Amino acid sequence: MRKSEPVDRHGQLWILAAVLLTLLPLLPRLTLEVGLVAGLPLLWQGWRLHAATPARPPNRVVLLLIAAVAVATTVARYGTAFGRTPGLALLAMLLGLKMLEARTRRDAHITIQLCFFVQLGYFLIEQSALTAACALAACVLALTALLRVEQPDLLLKPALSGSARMVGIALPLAALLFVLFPRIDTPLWGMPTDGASATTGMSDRMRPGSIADLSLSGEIAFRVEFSGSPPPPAERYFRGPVMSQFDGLEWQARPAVRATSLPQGKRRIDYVITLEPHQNRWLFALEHATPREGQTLDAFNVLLAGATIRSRVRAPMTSYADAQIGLDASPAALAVNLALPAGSNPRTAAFGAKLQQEQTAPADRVAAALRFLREGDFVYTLSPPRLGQNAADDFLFETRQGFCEHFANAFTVLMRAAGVPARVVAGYQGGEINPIDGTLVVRQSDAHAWSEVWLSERGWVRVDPTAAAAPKRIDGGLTASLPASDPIPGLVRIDSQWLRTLRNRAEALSHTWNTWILGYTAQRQRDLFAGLGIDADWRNLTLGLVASGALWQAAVWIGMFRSRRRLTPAERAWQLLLRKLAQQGLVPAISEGPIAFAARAGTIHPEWQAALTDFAARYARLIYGPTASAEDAEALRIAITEWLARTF
Amino acid sequence: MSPQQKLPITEARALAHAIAAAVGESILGKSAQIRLAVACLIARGHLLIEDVPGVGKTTLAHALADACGLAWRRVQFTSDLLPADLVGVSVWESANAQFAFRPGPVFSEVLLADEVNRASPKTQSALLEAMEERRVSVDGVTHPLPDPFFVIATQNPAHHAGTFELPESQLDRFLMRLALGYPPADAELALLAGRDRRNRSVVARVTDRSTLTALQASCADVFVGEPVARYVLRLVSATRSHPAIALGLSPRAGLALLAAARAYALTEGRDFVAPEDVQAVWHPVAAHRLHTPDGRHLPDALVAEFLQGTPVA
Repeated sequence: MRKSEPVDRHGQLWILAAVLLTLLPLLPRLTLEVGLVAGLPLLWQGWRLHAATPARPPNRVVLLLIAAVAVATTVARYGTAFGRTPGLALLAMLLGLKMLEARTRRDAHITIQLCFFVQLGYFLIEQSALTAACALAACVLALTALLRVEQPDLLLKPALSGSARMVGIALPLAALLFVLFPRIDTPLWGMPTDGASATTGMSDRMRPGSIADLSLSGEIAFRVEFSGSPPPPAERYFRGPVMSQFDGLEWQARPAVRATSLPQGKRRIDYVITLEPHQNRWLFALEHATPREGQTLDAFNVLLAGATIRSRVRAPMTSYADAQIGLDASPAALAVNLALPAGSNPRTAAFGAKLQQEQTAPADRVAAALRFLREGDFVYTLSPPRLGQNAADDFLFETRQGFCEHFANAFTVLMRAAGVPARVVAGYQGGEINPIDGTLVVRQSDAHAWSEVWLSERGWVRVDPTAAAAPKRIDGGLTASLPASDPIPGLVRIDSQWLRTLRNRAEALSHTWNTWILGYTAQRQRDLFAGLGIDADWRNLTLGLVASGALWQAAVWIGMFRSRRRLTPAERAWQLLLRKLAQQGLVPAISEGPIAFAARAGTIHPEWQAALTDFAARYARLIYGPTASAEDAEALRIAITEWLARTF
Repeated sequence: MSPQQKLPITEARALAHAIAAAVGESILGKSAQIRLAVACLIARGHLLIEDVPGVGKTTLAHALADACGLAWRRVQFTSDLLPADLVGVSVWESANAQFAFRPGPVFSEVLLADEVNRASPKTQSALLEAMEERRVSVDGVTHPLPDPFFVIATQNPAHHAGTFELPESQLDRFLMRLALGYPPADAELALLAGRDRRNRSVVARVTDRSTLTALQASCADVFVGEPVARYVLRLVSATRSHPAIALGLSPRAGLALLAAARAYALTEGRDFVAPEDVQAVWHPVAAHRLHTPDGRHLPDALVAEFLQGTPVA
């Protein structure tokens, strides 16, 4: 078959299906107008091929016009035609156009190669297990279309199984490459970004309402795998930014130096956190972490990653639940945690002064304040009334309705007013154990804020004022403590057991994928091979890669060779003839027997007719006839060889 | 059937060609159909010709019978034709004071059943039963039919009013279904100019009854190797998984395909079946056994598609 030969209607339908399946996973990632422009050629092609005799393909001018619209749409929407998403959008729109103008086999090949390229493009946007599954399915279909273009007589089942077999042979090789290809710690090239992408997550500032906004998101913040049994919900405080600077309205984290002493204790907890990207360095460790390799602990005992977390990070961590921090805090540092802006929250300041007079021991002042919160009919809600300039005053004495940051804000202000050094800690609290794989899943809705007060002898002590007013929040999570009328994202409050199990399964699968596929970094590669007693040097890896790749290829070849029937002498003689005739453009169809083929070849080359008819009759007798003797086969082989020598 | 003597392969081929040539003298320009009809006769199968009136169905039957030296009869099927009109009746003979069987037209070596779909289902099934069993039971007495016994039935292709479609389950009693079609232009011109021998009914007698049975018996010696059996299996199973087909070919259809291919191989002078023989008889043997889910014939192109899509090896 020649390259310029036209593709029949069935072949074109196959290509349409391949293009459709290739574009489908991409469309939700692109905008509506891009989807419309990309879908137009597909609809057109579908309409064309709907009839038994397809309508004429569209005029070249029309195609050029649509291409211009595609470029204009990209530039109008993204401001450029380059970069990751604009490039993919443009490619998606042009893929349909290429398919629409594909008439010959050469065009069909280009269209299908483009499909493969777009399938690769999925991974520029997202690298989830679902993406991989979509790409695999689209790849099999595109391969099937390619097979169908090459062999127009192929039926559906053999075509599909043929392409599935190709993928089946390729997958182990891909796995080998994945495991063995030498990895480097820093990527060779950076991913072009499309401007700042909005990521929900913790901020280093807190004002009333900021965490409540976060609570509306069911997105996963991080996952924790404990090597032992996980601590009870009431002890799951994952520390993020520590905010000690207060301007009367907003709490803010201060830059900190490295910690001078590391927390020590007896109740050691080992765990691995897999953090979703949040554009900051906090690792959200449990109380109180000691840094491992590549991690730093700042003076506020916040565990930080070596660099901003822009992609999913897997971090092994160690904490001591009973560690005490801040025992050696300097008076200057404590003074910062007593500061209040002059004139703000006067009623709280007065109440603090009263506490200070009544209770001499700071610990008693803390207890008295908590008692005030517990007995004051405070309501925990996601939609509290608006607060004025003196948020602590309004909350403590007027509205008495708030979310964790209201409690933390008011309590910390009150403690400072009462002369107890206090600060706000933001982070996550609680989480939910996924029963499928036993990991603790912590969502944005688990975001929380609490206070730490400094007591001599004990150092910085965590005090959660929310726990005093709404103890359910700490033990049962957000949904248990909120009134049913409050809005909560669908994924957080799931009443249906079935849906909950489904979500747990999907998240467990996604976590496995993240851990084993996406989290397979240079370090893990080294660890894996160190476990096998092999040094994961790039030379060893390359050697192993080449050797095992060659072994697999050999296994495939041997399998193919064994499944192929050994040729009889008669068949070998005939193959000799067929090869020579194929050079003259004479190839038997799959449905053409030797006699029919010889007759057809004889009408094209009458000078060979007699010889070919004779050979075909003798060959047919040898393979279909009752007695096939070795002498006859040998005689045929000699006759064919002699004839070939004479003729060619 | 008594042990038959068989013809050597070269004689068998020559005889088949002689019969075909003799028939071809009467019907010009239809050599392919004539060869298939001869193969059908050699394979001891019955032939269904589906075509419009006036294209030479009767002539073909007549010529075949004459060339082979066989006695033939023709029955025009009508809706009031009774089974007894076909197979015969027992009548009281007062002279002998007993019933005597008067054989019907079915007791002939070649029976032309014209417009078989005009008869009532009851009569049709009497004929089809006789074709299958090659004997007739009347009043508890079984009368064997002559050997050879060859039925050529004709029917109109369209769903004419007043016809009873042959039931699908009985269509496969016919080994082949052929369409004669209009003659090619030069043959028709010869016919119109009177050069055709159609109406002279002088077909050279090529052979006799015993030689014909010997020819039929030689079919059994035509070898079918495993590659060809596998090829037939591939063809048959391809029809079973096709969405446009109500019911794929049965194992019996596969056997019929091989029987017809054996006879065709004989006419080609081969003592073995090649895939080309199977392909030659594929359409006439398979097409009338295949139906779309709404009960219609398959388009010819679709029947041919199975040949094109099935690899020979």
